[in-house]
Amino acid sequence: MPDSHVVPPEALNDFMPVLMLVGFAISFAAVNIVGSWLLGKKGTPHPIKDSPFECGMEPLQEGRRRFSVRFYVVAMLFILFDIEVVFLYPWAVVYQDLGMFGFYEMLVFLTVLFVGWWYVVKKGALDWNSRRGPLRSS
Amino acid sequence: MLDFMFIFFASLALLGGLLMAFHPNIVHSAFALVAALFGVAGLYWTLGADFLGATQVLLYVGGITVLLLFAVMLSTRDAARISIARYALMAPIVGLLGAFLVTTGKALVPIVRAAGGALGPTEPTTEKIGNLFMDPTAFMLPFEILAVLLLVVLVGAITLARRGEEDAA
Amino acid sequence: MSFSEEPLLYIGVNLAKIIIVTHVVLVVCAYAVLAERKVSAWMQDRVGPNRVGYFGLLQPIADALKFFFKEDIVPGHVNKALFVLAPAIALMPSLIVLAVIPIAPPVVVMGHTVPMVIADLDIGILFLFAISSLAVYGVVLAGWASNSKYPLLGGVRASAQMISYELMLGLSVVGIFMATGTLRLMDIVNLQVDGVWNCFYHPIAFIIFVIAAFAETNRLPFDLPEAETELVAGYHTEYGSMKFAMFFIGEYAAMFGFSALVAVLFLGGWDIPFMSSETFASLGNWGAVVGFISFMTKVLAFMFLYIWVRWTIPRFRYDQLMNLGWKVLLPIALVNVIITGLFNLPKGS
Repeated sequence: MPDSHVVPPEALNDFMPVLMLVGFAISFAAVNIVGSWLLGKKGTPHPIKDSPFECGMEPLQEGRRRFSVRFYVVAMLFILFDIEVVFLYPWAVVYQDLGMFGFYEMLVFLTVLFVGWWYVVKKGALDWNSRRGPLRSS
Repeated sequence: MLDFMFIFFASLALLGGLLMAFHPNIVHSAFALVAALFGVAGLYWTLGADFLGATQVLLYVGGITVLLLFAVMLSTRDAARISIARYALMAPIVGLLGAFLVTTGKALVPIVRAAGGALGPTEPTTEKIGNLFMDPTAFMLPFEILAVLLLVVLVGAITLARRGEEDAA
Repeated sequence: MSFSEEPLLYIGVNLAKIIIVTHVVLVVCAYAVLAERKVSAWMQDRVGPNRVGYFGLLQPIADALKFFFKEDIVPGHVNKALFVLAPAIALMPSLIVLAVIPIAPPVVVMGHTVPMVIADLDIGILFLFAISSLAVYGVVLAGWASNSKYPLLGGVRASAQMISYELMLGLSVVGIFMATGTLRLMDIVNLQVDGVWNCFYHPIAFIIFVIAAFAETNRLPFDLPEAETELVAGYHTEYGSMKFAMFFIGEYAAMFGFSALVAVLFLGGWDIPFMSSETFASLGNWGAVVGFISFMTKVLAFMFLYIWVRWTIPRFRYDQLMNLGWKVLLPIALVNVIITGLFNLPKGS
């Protein structure tokens, strides 16, 4: 590279091995798929082979159905809490250098998070076994 | 080498975005979005923001796009229809963009450098971000407001989900 | 040693590390399947596989060959492109996360000290969580592309379960970073080698992490996505031949990854009790060998725990699984962060 002197020499050291491993993983997966396709026994086509597995019954209705809103709610809650967890990481790393102020500040943050969790639980958004549906506890 | 990676991730983000916008099958679109978000994460990484890059993958690819997929996968009955017309529209754009990247992509790198972006992970950023969050003169107030904002979003999400449930019933 | 100074040596050394790590993992995966069958057989007073080779030791090779030579079916009702892509996406993240796991003390090669980790990233654990969060795509994709009811149910269940417990994984380890002040796994191990293992410092985090690791890999008692009594095989019901095997390799590689992570974060990595980093250094390259054996012992012991639990504890119901995660483990993990903060109050305050 002609302009590699601009880049710090250690800059690539983090990059290269990860990309090499990604390359290995991709080629391993590709070898498996292609190998199985090349080596596999060539079977005869049959309508039964092309039908969805239903324990031997004739499939009724199409394969893709709508699922409960609870799954969407869990995914949404996950994103919100995950954002907060990610914010905890930089704080945790510098925690020892911050002094008590950092502890109190994060206590406020965690309290707000806890209030959110309490609200979710009280609203019944995480009740999976209630007969009246997940979100109608009130 | 890093310049090459910068161009690679930039094209990944651009092409992923285009594919997302133009692909007729909405589930494939969602996966094109994954590629685009990966491209952006890679860009962050090449620009020295390792924490931001990992967070991008963790939150956007591992969280938000999963929610999108949930919503998209089952709202459409049969998403496997392909219209040639839209592909035909897309082809010249991809071609032009590819030509642009090949010819002038190398020129982008000095522009990024001139704008103050360091190519390559120069030093760890996690501690810096942590210190900025905890600094009253920097981002302490936004950080705490963000906690409240997330709480509001939480309440909003639950309320909307409740309404959807009642409408369906 | 860096890429710009000695590119060939650098690439060679890294290639060697990648090949060693991935092949160790793949061999362990193959034999974990055999171990699983053997252990389950003994627990149920059976013999287990004993026909292929002495003690059934060639069984994994026979299985692999058979997977390759089976008919490669792509049923007519599936979305072909995504159906083929799904097992690859399920397999790759569990191999890529191995990049940041330190396996042994540094080795000296041709005058260079080489850390025995593929990429010693400063954001190590965050990289690991980010990549392992991608595993959910393989599952969702398999469920959706199969265009069939059981895979879809399994896929949706699996994804909700995996993202829920990812949260507990991420939250439980925050305490460790508060005490160590780093996300780099190599530093975390080094601190434990010269100090006390984290499982004694952070017992609550340890327990939460282990439970979440079981749920994250879809293993019993949390294998709802492939609960065979109700969902046939869950998200890989429509798969056969090597594509089915790839889901399997992915699952066992993920087990290996989480076992290694437990060893690194909580059980001191390559540490042996009463050995300090000087003792390892004084042994030279043999220190790395000893350390690697110690690390692998911990990993294999934890994988045995996976198998042991599978044949001991019955399956949870889905609502129990979600309640355990969201209503029990999440608040405990939150409180644990605060308690850890109180125990590790910043010095000089």
